[in-house]
Amino acid sequence: MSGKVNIAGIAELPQGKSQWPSPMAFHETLVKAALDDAGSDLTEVDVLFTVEPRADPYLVHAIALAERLRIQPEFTWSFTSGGCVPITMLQAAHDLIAAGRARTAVIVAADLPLTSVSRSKYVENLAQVGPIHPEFEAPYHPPVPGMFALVAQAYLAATGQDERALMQVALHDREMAARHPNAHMRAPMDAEAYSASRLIATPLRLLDCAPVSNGGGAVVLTRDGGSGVKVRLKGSGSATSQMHLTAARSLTQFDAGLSLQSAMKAAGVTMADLDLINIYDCFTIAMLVNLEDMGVSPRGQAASDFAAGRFGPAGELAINTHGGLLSHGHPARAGGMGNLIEAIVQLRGLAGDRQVADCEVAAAHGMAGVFASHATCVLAREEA
Amino acid sequence: MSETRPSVATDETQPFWDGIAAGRLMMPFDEAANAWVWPPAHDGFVWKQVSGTGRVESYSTVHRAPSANHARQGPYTIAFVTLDEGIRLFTRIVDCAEQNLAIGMRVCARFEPVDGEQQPLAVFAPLEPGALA
Repeated sequence: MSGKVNIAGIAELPQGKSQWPSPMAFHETLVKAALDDAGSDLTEVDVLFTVEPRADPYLVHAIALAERLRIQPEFTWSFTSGGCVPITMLQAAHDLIAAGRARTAVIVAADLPLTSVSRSKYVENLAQVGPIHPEFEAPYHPPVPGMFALVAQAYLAATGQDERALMQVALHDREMAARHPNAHMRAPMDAEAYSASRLIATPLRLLDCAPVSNGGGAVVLTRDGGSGVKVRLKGSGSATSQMHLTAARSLTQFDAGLSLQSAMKAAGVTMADLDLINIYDCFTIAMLVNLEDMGVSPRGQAASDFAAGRFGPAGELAINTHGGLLSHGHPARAGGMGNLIEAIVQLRGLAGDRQVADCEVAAAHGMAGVFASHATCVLAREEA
Repeated sequence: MSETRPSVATDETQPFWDGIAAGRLMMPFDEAANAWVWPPAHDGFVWKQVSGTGRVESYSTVHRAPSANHARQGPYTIAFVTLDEGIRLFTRIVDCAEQNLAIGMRVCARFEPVDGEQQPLAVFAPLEPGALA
C-alpha cells in the first residue's frame, strides 16, 4: 500500500448528551475542525464521505452536507457498512488519494440519536430496521441486545464462565473512559454497580450495553507534504459472515480474526507489532468474542486477561484506551469512529494519561450487526 | 392467502406461512445439495415438513422489550432451537419457568401468536413435563 497518504487531521467533540441545533450543524463543525487540524480548508476538499445518520435522512447525505458547506467535491458519497463504516470510508478515501485521483478527503461519521427522536423511539426503530431478520426473527420481537444476549448465553456456557466475565469488559472500558475528556460515561463503576444494573436480556445487564450517545467525529486525509510526524494507513482488511444470526455457522465464533489477519497481512505486521487495538464493543460480549476470535487471548481467557491488567495502557497490548463503545459512547450509525480516532490520537502521542508509551502501530476494528461483518485497519506513526 | 402471512413475507415464503397456519413446520430443502437451506436462499429448493422437535441452542429472557407495547407483556424468552434435522430456528420458548431454561433442553413446536397478536408463529415448549411452570 502506498505510503504517500497522511492521516492529517481529526475532530472529535464530547460524546453523549451534547446538544446541537441540528445534525447538519454538528457535521459542519466536525468537518471544519478536522480540516483546521490538518492545516487545510474547504477549498481543498475533493472527497467527502459520510455515513447517513439515523437522525438525518436525505437521498444522499454526503451531498446534502456538501450543499450545506457550499462545496462540490468530485467524490461525494455516503456509505452503509454498519459499524465497519469508519474503516471502510477510511480505506476508500485513502485509495483515491494513493491512486492520484484526489488530494484531500474528509470522512465524517456522526449521529445524534438523542436529539432528533426520543431515546425510546430510537431503540424501537433499531429493532425494526436493525440486524434482525425481518421475516424470521422480527415477528418474535427481539430487542437488539437480545440477539447479543443469545451469543453471550451460549459463549458463557461453552467456556464455563459466568457473568463476571462480561463484567471485566465493562469495568475496563469505564476505567479507560474516566481518563478521556470526550467520553459519554465516565462515572466510576465497580463490581457492585455492575451487578446492580438492571437486566435487559439475560445475561446482559444495562452496563453490558453501550449507551445511546450523540457523537462521532471526522478524519482528514491528504497527499503527503512537509515534514514531521505522519500517521499512515498501513493496511486494512474485512470479513463477511452473514447478515442475521439465524444464518451464522456458530453462535459463539465469528470472523473478527479474518479481518485482522487480512489487515495485518496488507500492512506487513504481526500481532507482536501492535501497541494498541481498539475493538468494536457495542456489548461486553462483543469484546470477549471479537478479542478471542482475533487470537489476542485464547478461547475463554479474555476476561481473566482483562482482570490481570494485560490490556491497560501500560499492559502487554493496550485495548480501548478511550473506553470503547461501552463507555466512550455509541453514536448510532457512527459507532466505531471513536475507535479510529483514539488510534490516531495515540499514534500522535497526544493521549495524555491514557498514553501508550512508544505507540508506533495501532489497529482499529469495526463490526456490523450481530457479528455480521468486520473491518480492521492498521495505522502506524512515521517520522517524515 | 395473504391474510395468513406477515406483511414482510413474499410469494417465495408463502409455503412456510401456509404450514404455520395449518400447524406444520415446513422448511426449505435443496435436493441437489441434500441439505436444508435456512434462511431461504437461492431458488431451487422444495418445502418439506420437519418433525418440530429439537434442542435449545441458546436462550435469553427479555426484560426490556424493544417498544412500550411489548413491555406490557412482561418478560419473555427468545431462543435459537436446533431442530433434529439440524436447522437453527429463531423462536420463543413458552410454558417454561425461567429457572428451568437450559441449553440442550428438548423442545417441541407449537403454532400460536405471541404478545396477543393475530399472526401465528412457530414457538417451542419443553418436551419434559417437569419443566412446566
